[in-house]
Formats: sequence, structure tokens, C-alpha cells
Amino acid sequence: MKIQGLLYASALTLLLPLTLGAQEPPNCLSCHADKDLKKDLAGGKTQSLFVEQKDYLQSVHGSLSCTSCHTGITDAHPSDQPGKVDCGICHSQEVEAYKKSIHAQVFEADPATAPDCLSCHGTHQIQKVNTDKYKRATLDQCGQCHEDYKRTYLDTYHGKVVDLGETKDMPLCWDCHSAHEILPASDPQSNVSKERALATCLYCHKDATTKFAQYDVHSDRFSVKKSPIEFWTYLVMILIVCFAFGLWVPHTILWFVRDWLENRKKKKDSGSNPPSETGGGA
Amino acid sequence: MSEVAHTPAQAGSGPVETREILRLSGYQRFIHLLVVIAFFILAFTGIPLKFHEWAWAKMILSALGGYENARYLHRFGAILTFIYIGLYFAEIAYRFVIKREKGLFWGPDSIIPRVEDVIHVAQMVIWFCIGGRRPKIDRWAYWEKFDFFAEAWGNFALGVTGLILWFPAFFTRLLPGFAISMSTIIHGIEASLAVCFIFFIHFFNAHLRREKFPMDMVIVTGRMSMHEFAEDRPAELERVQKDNALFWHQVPPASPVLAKVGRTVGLILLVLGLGISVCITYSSFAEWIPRVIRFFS
Ligand code: HEC
Ligand code: HEC
Ligand code: HEC
Ligand code: HEC
Ligand code: HEC
Ligand code: HEC
Ligand code: HEC
Ligand code: HEM
Repeated sequence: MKIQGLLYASALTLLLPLTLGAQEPPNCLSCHADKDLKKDLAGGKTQSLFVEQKDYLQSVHGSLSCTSCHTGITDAHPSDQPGKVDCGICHSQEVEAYKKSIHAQVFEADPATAPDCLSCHGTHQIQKVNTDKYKRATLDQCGQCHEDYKRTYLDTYHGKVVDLGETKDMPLCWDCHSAHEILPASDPQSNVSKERALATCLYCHKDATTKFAQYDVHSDRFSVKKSPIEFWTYLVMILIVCFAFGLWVPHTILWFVRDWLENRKKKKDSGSNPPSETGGGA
Repeated sequence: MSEVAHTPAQAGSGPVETREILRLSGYQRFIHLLVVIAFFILAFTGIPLKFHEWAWAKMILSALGGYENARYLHRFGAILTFIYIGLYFAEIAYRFVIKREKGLFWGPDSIIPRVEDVIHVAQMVIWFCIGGRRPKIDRWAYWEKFDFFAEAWGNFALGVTGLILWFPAFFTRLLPGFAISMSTIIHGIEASLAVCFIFFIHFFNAHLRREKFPMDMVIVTGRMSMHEFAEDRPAELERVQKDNALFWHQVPPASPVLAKVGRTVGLILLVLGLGISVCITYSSFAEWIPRVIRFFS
């Protein structure tokens, strides 16, 4: 990560003269700070073109000029077609990794279902990734589309501790799956494939063995198909609970009622006869 | 009742009213104290992890000073548990091997269930339903035996699965990976069961019923009044009197300070324990009811 930081820094110094030299003709925010600036889309919908300056300046890219990302802006703006932003100009490593991932493949086929850079990082408010806030946010991000995996993750020790607010040493989704080069477990290249899962665990569990890595961190005790062993264990435990309380709750309630009845009877008796019990007491 | 007042207590010294029966030795009460301490530590540091989504769990953890503390305390409680299990078996071994005590594993003085216990259960149920006479209970009542073995089983299940969760990499050298997920499930549910059982059932059986309310001091002082003894354990009294051994069971009363401290601490723990049990029950039902509804609709 330190190396990557250096790369950014050098990228930045390389870019700096460029951006300074090519001071963009119009001040973008003179128009785009307008909350009502919209673009008409097909089908009567509109897209807001508003850019919140405060958020932008606080983001990691706040020191960049708009055109370092929006490279397609010409003097003819707004009547030109600026085109999509390519994060790869500066983050080629992440883009290369992402392109190999299952997400990129699915995104190409159907952009609505899979994430690209923007779904996970945002556009103008991109924050540093090694903060607690972002780390916790990724849980919900991945969880949006992988609800079952989020639930089962929160059922493991790792997830419980993270949910309790301790993200320091605990693995989040991307510690095991990587953030960009995410691949299905069936792909041997995947961090969580049979071949490589052990290496992933070893990153933190120095004494891990093959069998340790076979522990299914997404086992689902509610699914008999996916995790039969956990399902039956869970069911047997529930039955033991039902057995114990099925015997003893009635026992306790009946005892309570009988106690109360006896007590009342005794009070009545001692009301008619003079009290005979003197000894004992305490 | 009136029979009790006339019970002839032939032996012993001092006035009849102040003589008490020694039920639990100091060693036994010391072990029970360890059980109570370890159990409370384990329950209050483990349960919030299982119910991490709930506000009450987060409150308990912040009262304990965060998750890291709970983690260490849980392990401390576990070590304490293994210590008292060791002490318990050491005493049993001493009494069996060295003192050659008879009736440790069989007979009326033993905690091991007997045929009489089944009869007592039936008699008790009859008493619940139509009243009359309660079964004549001997040294250990069947509910005490059940509590004992429930605790023993619980400690076994929690101890084994807890060790697997503590040293997962070590145990999976021998065991398959799913031992870890099984252990998580067993440990979590068995712990919830143990806590709720102790506070809803054991506390009622032992402390909250009318004769004992609000607390049976025998676990603190080790002593029981003659009057209570005769009412609660008539079979044992008969047996002891037949052997003319009542004298050997009688002791002077315990210090009132001990009883006072015991009662105060006991009541505080009872409130805490009932509180967490209510939370566990509520959260378990809240998790389950939607699931059951979804299943049937
Ligand atoms: C004179 C006002 C004005 C200025 C200055 C301006 N824009 Fe725009 N911009 C617009 C308008 C109006 C549109 C909507 C164009 C349309 O409807 O196709 C727009 C659209 C855009 C779009 C979206 C294009 C699309 O098709 O989705 C981007 C990106 C953009 N501007 C970036 C910039 C940047 C970067 C700058 C500064 C270099 C800038 N703009 C300066 C008025 C302006
Ligand atoms: C880190 C790169 C980056 C920088 C710097 C940046 N943008 Fe953008 N901007 C994007 C991305 C990514 C989009 C999403 C649409 C796309 O891919 O073209 C976008 C979209 C837009 C849009 C279209 C409306 C929208 O919100 O989707 C406008 C207008 C815009 N940017 C204006 C600006 C202005 C003005 C600045 C400078 C204050 C700026 N951008 C700086 C990356 C950037
Ligand atoms: C599925 C969500 C997701 C997608 C899609 C995604 N990222 Fe990330 N990105 C993350 C997460 C999570 C992290 C933090 C983890 C890390 O540092 O490896 C991260 C970290 C980064 C970092 C900082 C890396 C570092 O080590 O400091 C950059 C730069 C980045 N992403 C750029 C991109 C770009 C460019 C794309 C598009 C090609 C992209 N990301 C797509 C989730 C995503
Ligand atoms: C013009 C070059 C440039 C472009 C284009 C660019 N970035 Fe960045 N990005 C940077 C720089 C410089 C940093 C700051 C690195 C730092 O502060 O350590 C950065 C930081 C980041 C970080 C935070 C990394 C960290 O260490 O926490 C993320 C995430 C990120 N960019 C995502 C994106 C995404 C997504 C896009 C595409 C929409 C994008 N960037 C486009 C230059 C760029
Ligand atoms: C916008 C929705 C979306 C987000 C956000 C998202 N994913 Fe995905 N993910 C998908 C889709 C769609 C697939 C392909 C599913 C398939 O092929 O069945 C996928 C596939 C995967 C796979 C391969 C599993 C498979 O079934 O093939 C993994 C692992 C994965 N994602 C992990 C993550 C992680 C970790 C994050 C968060 C850092 C994340 N995803 C965020 C939509 C998303
Ligand atoms: C401790 C490491 C670890 C963490 C943390 C983790 N996973 Fe996984 N994940 C795995 C392993 C190992 C597998 C492969 C085992 C399996 O088949 O279930 C897997 C499988 C998956 C799959 C299915 C992959 C496939 O091809 O079938 C998805 C989707 C997934 N994880 C998403 C997530 C999400 C979302 C999170 C965060 C909420 C997450 N994972 C957290 C280790 C992890
Ligand atoms: C980012 C680091 C990290 C990664 C990667 C990671 N773990 Fe962990 N894991 C931890 C930490 C920290 C603990 C808590 C250590 C402890 O309790 O002693 C832990 C605890 C565990 C536990 C003990 C659970 C319990 O209930 O006590 C198991 C089992 C486990 N991890 C399995 C795995 C497996 C399997 C993988 C690989 C798929 C994995 N971990 C990957 C950090 C990690
Ligand atoms: C007797 C030995 C015991 C050992 C060795 C043990 C060990 C562990 C370990 C290692 C964990 C994993 C979480 C953590 O590290 O904090 C855990 C969790 C837990 N423990 Fe224990 N424990 C023991 C007894 C108990 C008892 C008696 C209770 C309750 C009365 C209990 C309740 C719990 C609960 C509820 C969890 C959370 C389970 C989950 O995540 O679902 N434990 N225990």
C-alpha cells in the first residue's frame, strides 16, 4: 500500500505541470455549482449536473482539477460530448485488477447488476479507503448485492467483532476476497479457491492448516442444501432447548400455582384455628 | 407443619430451635462460589457476542469497557471453570479413593439418579394437580439432580466447543473444518440455554418458591433449619434418625454477617441474571417468530 501511495505521489507530480499548464478555460463550478443544472435524458428523465463543492474539496481528489478526470471537455462545452471518465489514467493497477474480476465481466454484460469503480467509491466524494468509516461502509456495499454472504459473515466470529465496531485486525469482505480482483471460488486464481484459501487465512492465522481453511466462513445454518452439517447441528440444538424447557417450564408453573394454592389454604386454616406453629421459623 | 414442631431432635447441644443441619461443606460452598463467579463472567462476556446486533448486547459490552476486555474476561472465566471442574473431581477422588466413603455413587446420599427419583417425579406431578402430600424427598431432590447433570453436560459441551473456538488452528489439525462452525452453533445455543435455564428454572426451584423466597441461604451458610429440613427432606430425616445419626449432622448456626452478605450479593446477581435471561429470550423469539411465519406462509 505504501508503494501505491508513492505511485500516486509520482503520478501527481507528473500531472501537476500538465494541469497547471492547461488551466481549463471556463471555471467549471461557475455553472456546475447550480443545484438546478440538469441534463435531459431520453424518456423525459433528467440527470442532475450539480457538483457539491464542499464534498469535492474534502475528497481525496479535491486537489485535482476537474479536467484531470474529465479529459474530454473542450472549448465548445456544454455542447460537446465529454465522454466517460477513465480512472485508469492514474489508477492503472486497480483498473487492471478489476478488469479480471467477475464483477467486470458481469458489468460488461449488464451494468445494472454488477459494481464498477463508481458503485464502490462514488464520484466526487471519494474518501480514503483505510479509514474505519470506509471499511464499515464496504460491508453494506457488498451486502447490498450479496445479502446472504453478509448475513453469514455476520454469523462468524470475524463478522460479529466487526459489527461490534472492532475493524482493526478483523477481516472484512475484501481482506479475503480482495477488493478489485474478485473471482468466483471455482476459479483457481481466486483468493478463496480451494487452492488459495489457505494462503488467505495464513495472512493472519500464522498456524493455519489445510483443514482450518476448509472451515466454511459462509456456512449457513438455515440452509440444509448449502450447509447440511450446520443445519442439522442447529436443529438438534434447538430440539435440546425445546426438550429442556418443555419439561421444566410446565413443572415450574405448576409448582408455582400449587404453592400458591397451598399457601392460601394454610392461611385460611390458621385463620379459623389459633396458630399452632411456633417452632422453626427462620 | 404441626408434625414438624413435634419432631423430636434427640441429639445435639443447645436449644432445639437454634440447632441446624449441615448440608454443604465449606469446600462444596467454595466450589459453588467459583461456579457462580465463573458463570457470571462467561455469560456476561459471551452472550453479548452472540446477540451482537441488539442494543442491550452493545450496552453490556460498553459497560465492560469494550469488546477487547470481554474477550480476555471470557477466557479468564473459562480457565476458572476448568479449575473448579478439577477441584470438584479432586474432592470426589479423595473421598472415594482415600476416605473410601460409601454411597458416593449409589444409594440415597448420592447425586446419581435412582428409581425413587422417577417415583418422586410422578408423585410431584400428582401433587401439582390434586394436592395432598408431597413426595418424601431424600438427600437430593430429583430437580437438584437434574440441575447438577444439566450443569455438568453444559460445562462439558461448552468447554469442548469453547476450546475449539479458542484454538481453532490447533484443533483442526485433527478435526475437519466444519468442527469450527458446529462449535460456534453448539456453544452459542448451549450458552443461551444454560443462562436461561439457570435463571428461570434453577432459581425458581432452589430459591424463589414460597418456602425459600427470596433466597435459599443453604448455599451461603451451608445450613438448613431443623424445621425446613423436616419439611423439605422428610425421607432423609427419617433415615438419619433411624441410624441415630442426627447429632452428627447438627451444627450451630452460621454467622449472621455471612448470611447478610450472601443475601445481598445473591439478590444482585439474581436481578442481573434474570435481566440477561429476559433479553436472551426476547431476542431469540424476535429472531425466530418472523422466520417461522415466513416458513408457514
Ligand atoms: C457555461 C456553463 C458551464 C461551464 C462553465 C461548464 N459546464 Fe459542464 N455542463 C454545462 C451544461 C449546461 C451541461 C449539460 C449539457 C447537456 O445537456 O448535454 C454540462 C454537462 C457537463 C457534463 C456532463 C456531460 C454528459 O453528457 O453527461 C460534464 C461531465 C461537465 N459538464 C463537466 C464540466 C467541466 C469539467 C467543466 C469545467 C472544465 C464544465 N463542465 C464547465 C454547463 C457548463
Ligand atoms: C476523480 C475524477 C473526477 C474529478 C476530479 C471530477 N469528476 Fe466529475 N465525474 C467523475 C465521474 C467518474 C463521473 C461519473 C460520470 C462519468 O463517468 O463520466 C463524473 C460526473 C460528472 C458530472 C455529470 C453529473 C454527475 O454527477 O454524474 C459533472 C457535471 C461533473 N462530473 C463535473 C465535475 C466538476 C465540475 C469537477 C471539478 C470540480 C469534477 N467533475 C471533477 C469523475 C471526476
Ligand atoms: C466491489 C467494490 C469495488 C470496486 C468495483 C472497485 N473498488 Fe477500489 N476499492 C474497494 C475497496 C473495498 C478498497 C479498499 C481495499 C484495498 O485497499 O484493497 C478499494 C481500494 C481502492 C483504491 C486504493 C488502493 C490502496 O491500496 O490504497 C483505489 C485507488 C481504488 N480502489 C480504485 C478503484 C478503481 C479505479 C476501480 C475501478 C476499476 C475500483 N477501485 C473498483 C472496492 C472497490
Ligand atoms: C488524475 C489522476 C486521477 C484520476 C483520473 C483518478 N484518481 Fe483517484 N486518486 C488520485 C490521486 C492523486 C489520489 C490521492 C492519493 C493519496 O492521497 O494518497 C487518489 C486517490 C484515490 C482513492 C483513495 C486511495 C487511498 O489511498 O485511500 C480512491 C479510492 C480513488 N482515488 C479512486 C478513484 C476512482 C474510482 C477514480 C475514477 C472515477 C479515480 N480515482 C480517478 C488520482 C486520480
Ligand atoms: C452492485 C452489486 C454488487 C456489489 C456492490 C458487489 N457485488 Fe459481488 N457480484 C455481483 C454480481 C452480479 C456478481 C456475479 C454473480 C454471479 O455470477 O452469480 C458478483 C460476484 C461476486 C463474487 C463471485 C461469486 C459468484 O457467485 O460468482 C464474489 C466473491 C463477490 N461478488 C464479492 C463481492 C465483494 C467482496 C463485494 C464488496 C467489496 C462485492 N462483491 C460487491 C454484484 C455485486
Ligand atoms: C475470512 C475470509 C472471508 C471473509 C471475511 C468473507 N469471505 Fe466470502 N468467502 C470466503 C471463502 C473462503 C469463500 C469460499 C467458500 C465458499 O464456497 O463458500 C467465500 C465465498 C464467497 C462468495 C461466493 C463465492 C463463490 O464463487 O461461490 C461470495 C459472494 C462471498 N464470499 C462474499 C462475501 C462478502 C459479501 C463478504 C463480506 C460481507 C465476505 N464474502 C467475507 C472467505 C471470506
Ligand atoms: C485480516 C486478518 C484475518 C484473516 C484474513 C482471517 N482471519 Fe480469522 N481471525 C482473525 C482474528 C484477528 C481473529 C481473532 C483471533 C483470536 O481470537 O485469537 C480470528 C479468528 C478466527 C477464528 C476463531 C473464531 C472464534 O469463534 O473464536 C476462526 C475459526 C477463523 N478466524 C477462521 C478464519 C479462516 C478460515 C480464514 C481464511 C478463510 C480466516 N480466519 C482469515 C483475523 C483474520
Ligand atoms: C467452559 C469453558 C468455555 C470456554 C473455553 C469458552 C470459550 C469461548 C470462546 C473462545 C469463544 C469465542 C469468542 C471469544 O473469543 O470471545 C466463546 C464464545 C461464546 N461463549 Fe464461551 N467459553 C466457555 C464457556 C462459556 C459459558 C459457560 C458460557 C455462557 C454461559 C459461554 C458463552 C459464550 C457465548 C454466548 C459465546 C458467543 C458464541 C457466538 O459467537 O455465537 N461460554 N467462548
